[in-house]
Amino acid sequence: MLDNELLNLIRNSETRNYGFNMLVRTYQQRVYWLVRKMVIDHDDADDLTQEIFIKLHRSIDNFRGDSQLFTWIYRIATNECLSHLSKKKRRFILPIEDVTEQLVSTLDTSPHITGDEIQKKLQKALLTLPDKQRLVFNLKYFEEMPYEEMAEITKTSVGALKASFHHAVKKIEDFLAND
Amino acid sequence: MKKLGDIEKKNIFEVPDGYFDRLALQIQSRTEILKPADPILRWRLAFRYAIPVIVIGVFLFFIFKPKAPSNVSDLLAAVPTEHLIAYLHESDISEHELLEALQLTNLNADSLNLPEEGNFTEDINESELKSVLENEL
Repeated sequence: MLDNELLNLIRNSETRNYGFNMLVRTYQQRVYWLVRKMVIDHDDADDLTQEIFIKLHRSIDNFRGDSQLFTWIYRIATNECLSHLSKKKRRFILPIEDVTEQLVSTLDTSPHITGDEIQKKLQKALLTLPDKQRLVFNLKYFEEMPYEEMAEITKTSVGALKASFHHAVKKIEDFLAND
Repeated sequence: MKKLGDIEKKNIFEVPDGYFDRLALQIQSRTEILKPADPILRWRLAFRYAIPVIVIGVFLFFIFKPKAPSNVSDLLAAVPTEHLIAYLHESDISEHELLEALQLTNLNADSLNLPEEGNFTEDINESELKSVLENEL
């Protein structure tokens, strides 16, 4: 279903619930995987994904259509991810590295994570990056998102995003070489 | 040295079976509980509850309104004379300062049964004055 059709359904009070349900089914996987790659743990990703859609439901009437629906949804999702990770780090009395250690531990122990050693090593390398840089890397490397689209979502210039991604690649390769 | 390009691009994360079907239903049940607020209903509720609260508040304000302070003269008049005298005795105010503070006006002169300021002998002729002085002496 096209975005305009979805929005028309949602804006009509009689079909609002049906329209929003269709929106969820259209975008839930993309949102979930974006979140999951950032927070690693499935239960955390599940909670956060639901919160993102609740937030979307509350603010859908504010969507003015000056960007694509997908861009708007992703913007909310990325902000919520970064906010969640930031709050998690603030809750920890111990230094920031302990949040990273907790996420690394989840990589090693979670039943919902498979993959060979090099794949897990790559994920551990990603966890050494700052959250925003990790987000940029995920969007570019795993989702192959164009920089222009990423710029609209993150409200960051294309040049800054390119620099961030290339720097992230360098750091990951250094990590893999030294580990 | 391992290059990123040498590593197979793979999603190592998994979800429980049927997760995305359940996710959509969970979100649906949560969002159907949240209904957008009806602005007209909101105003009706505001009138129903806010107005009685405001009326009661105004009523209580007038009941318990602090009385405006009386003027200083009224306040002083309520103080017993002996208390005033005792206060003046114990204070550091000199007679000179007290007289200056009184600032007698014509109105004050009347209340003290004193003649108005002016030339006291203006309306008395010389023979009358002589007569008064002879009687007094």
